[in-house]
Amino acid sequence: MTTIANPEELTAEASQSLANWLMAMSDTKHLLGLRYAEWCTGGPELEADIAASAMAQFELGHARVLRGILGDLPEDPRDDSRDTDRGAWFSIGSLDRPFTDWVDLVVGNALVDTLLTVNLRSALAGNYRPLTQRLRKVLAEEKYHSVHAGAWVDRLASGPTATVERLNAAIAGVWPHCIAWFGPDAGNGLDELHDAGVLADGAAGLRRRFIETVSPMLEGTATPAAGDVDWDGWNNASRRHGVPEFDDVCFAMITGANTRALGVGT
Amino acid sequence: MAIGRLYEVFARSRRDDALGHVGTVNATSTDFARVYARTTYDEENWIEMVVVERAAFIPVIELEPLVKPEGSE
Repeated sequence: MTTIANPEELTAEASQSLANWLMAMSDTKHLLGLRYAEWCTGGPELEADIAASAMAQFELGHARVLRGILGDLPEDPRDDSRDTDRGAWFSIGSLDRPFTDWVDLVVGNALVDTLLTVNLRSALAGNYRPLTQRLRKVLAEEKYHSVHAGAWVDRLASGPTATVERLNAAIAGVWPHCIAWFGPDAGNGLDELHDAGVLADGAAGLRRRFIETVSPMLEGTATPAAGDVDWDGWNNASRRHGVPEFDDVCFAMITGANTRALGVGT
Repeated sequence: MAIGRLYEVFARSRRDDALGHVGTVNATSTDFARVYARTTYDEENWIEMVVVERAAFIPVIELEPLVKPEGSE
């Protein structure tokens, strides 16, 4: 496998696909960090609060790492439109709104965090050095997020019937977003990165690895089948259907609008 | 009220250090204990961290209670 040491060695098509993938990954990590942080004083026990705040910090740190790599690409699509246009954000649809309860946080941890980790593992096994150089530490940190998700799913799945039903409903709500994230058989944006060697797997392989990774974690729950996706309206840059429906508070938070008036931001 | 069992957390930041006690966590399983220890005591770049359930401690010198139970000598 030939190592790609810098962006200039990528074809224009591969570079564009990489820019889109880095945006989707980093925006999803940014939103996941925000959603974890919103619950960092709302967990069932103090240790859970600390874990949520630590995971939030790591997700935001990982988003920053990925955006650093994105910033070196000529196809970096970020511009001022992100301050006003929700459509310029590529985060997964299940994070458009806050977690409504601790079960939502656990399911976001189990499904969305794992989806991201499966992608990063594939990039670590790929040939793009700016990624492979940085991902070992990121993935070491993610190991504990996975243990956290598994332990909580197990605990909730052995809870009262109403809790198990709530858990199953939350999984059923997030699952279609995750399956759709990998895209259709053609034109999915991931196969191009696999062809370039940046990812060790294409879309179908990544989706299979995701299901294989989450399945043991979701033992004891009513995990949905992979399911058919209606690809009408799916965008292979943002890797989702539609435009994010962030509320105004969330959008101001992620764009820094509330603090821009201080004149010290970017 | 604390949920679960008490776990003692030990860690070291250098190979030539001994494992030192850094704190405790309450957890309902060893997996929770691992995660909670890792996220609670992350103030240093530990190279090793372990958790031990307090109940697994084998007493060598037993702590005398501060107040003797009623009726005992």
